[in-house]
Amino acid sequence: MRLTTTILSIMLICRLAFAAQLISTVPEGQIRLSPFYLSSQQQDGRLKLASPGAIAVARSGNIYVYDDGNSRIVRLDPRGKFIAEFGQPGSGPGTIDRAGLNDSIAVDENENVYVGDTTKVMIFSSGGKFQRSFRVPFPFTSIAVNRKSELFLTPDTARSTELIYVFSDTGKFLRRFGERLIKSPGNLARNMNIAVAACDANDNLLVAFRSWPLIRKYSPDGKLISENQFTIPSELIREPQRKNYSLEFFAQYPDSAFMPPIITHSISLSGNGTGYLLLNAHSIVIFASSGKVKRQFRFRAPRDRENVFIRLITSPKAKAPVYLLDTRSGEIYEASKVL
Amino acid sequence: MLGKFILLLTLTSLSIGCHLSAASQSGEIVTSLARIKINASTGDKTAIPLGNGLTIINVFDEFSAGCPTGNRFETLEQFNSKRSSGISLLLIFSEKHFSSQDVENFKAILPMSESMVQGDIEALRPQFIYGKLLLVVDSKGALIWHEKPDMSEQQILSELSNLTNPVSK
Repeated sequence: MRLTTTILSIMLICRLAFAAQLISTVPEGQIRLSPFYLSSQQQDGRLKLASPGAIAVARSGNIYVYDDGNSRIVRLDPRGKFIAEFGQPGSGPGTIDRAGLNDSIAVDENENVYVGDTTKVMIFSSGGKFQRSFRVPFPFTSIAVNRKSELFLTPDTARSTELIYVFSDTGKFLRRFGERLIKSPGNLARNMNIAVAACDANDNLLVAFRSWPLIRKYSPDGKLISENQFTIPSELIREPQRKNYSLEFFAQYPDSAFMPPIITHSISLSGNGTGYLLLNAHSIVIFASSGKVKRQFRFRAPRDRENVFIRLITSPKAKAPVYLLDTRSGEIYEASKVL
Repeated sequence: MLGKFILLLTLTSLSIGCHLSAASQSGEIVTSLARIKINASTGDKTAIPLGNGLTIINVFDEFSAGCPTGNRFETLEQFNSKRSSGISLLLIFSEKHFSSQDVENFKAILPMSESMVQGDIEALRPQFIYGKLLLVVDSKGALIWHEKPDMSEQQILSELSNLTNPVSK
């Protein structure tokens, strides 16, 4: 009996030590958030954002916001001035549905705007004129666009399928690629395989999983170039989650109920190759162009936990500002001293 | 006594009402189904082609954001993978809301490409459930079964399996 207890104690100590090696505490980083667009300070009701769900920055510096609650796209100039709105609620061409967490938006080199609402991609000109739309047979969670205006969609489906689907800007399906994290079909597998994607200046695609700390880099034709796992702060993982937060568990129980400890809301890349992930609304991960993580930290928001940042975006320019979108208040902040 | 009689009368009338309502809904579906036209490869509009056995028909008008249609495709894929010979499958996409390019994409992406067509499904619009409707008809076009509101995808798959594989029931 005593021997059994001793063996179990040693196993427990080994397990704790192993866990401690894998998970590191991440410090609170020095980051200053300056107000860029504050809905609460707009006098005109038309200028107020309601539950905005996605944001994109064009090379010109113009910012496009998926204003989910108002079923429209808002264009701001590089100084945060409201310039235009387009799209409308309802049904028919050019109408925008409320898609919540599945809101996605991207802007190409010619400043065409691609808007994704769950299963539909709508394409608008930079002037806001509706061009066309196309459907996909699954919900998707993000859109990335490369210099050839090819669109990369990340599916949200329990089906055992590829990670990335590529369409032309006319809506023609071109190809698919990428191995899912969990290959078995199932609801947990579905959640774990949700990804967000962004293109770099050379049209490579960087992909981060929503609930697993991993960044993959793919070549423009879909070949896996690198895969970089990073650790997540130990305080983010509750004790009951710790035991089951493993790929082995997910593969074995692809339909089980499990609440993953992290949500990766956004991935974005600046022109100089610096990449950013926004995790759990208040953490930023900074990675190199290879996908290797350089630094990660939590940050304190202006209104602390009242701010719910769900998107981080930067632009293709080399020294591009980084913006954070707060869906709760409709506020956009510019982050400085991130690096 | 009078109270019990009134209660019985009310329950009976409600029950009859429900049956009448269900029956009239099925009747409307049958009438509407006859007016559905699909776009044939020749460019003509034709009636729904029926197989020698049962035909499973799913019409899609919209992919509703509140009810992601990905689930329905998953259900149909699961059914299709176990479909016995003699059972036909037809997925009709509204020509009003899906372009021919969309349907070509679906054929390239999903494994049921030979079952997908575009068509005019407006006649069934009042019966749509979250922008879609699944029906089962026999070789003469008689309605055997149709999905009801609030049915889960698991229930639908189970019903389809029972209808098409009665022996394994």
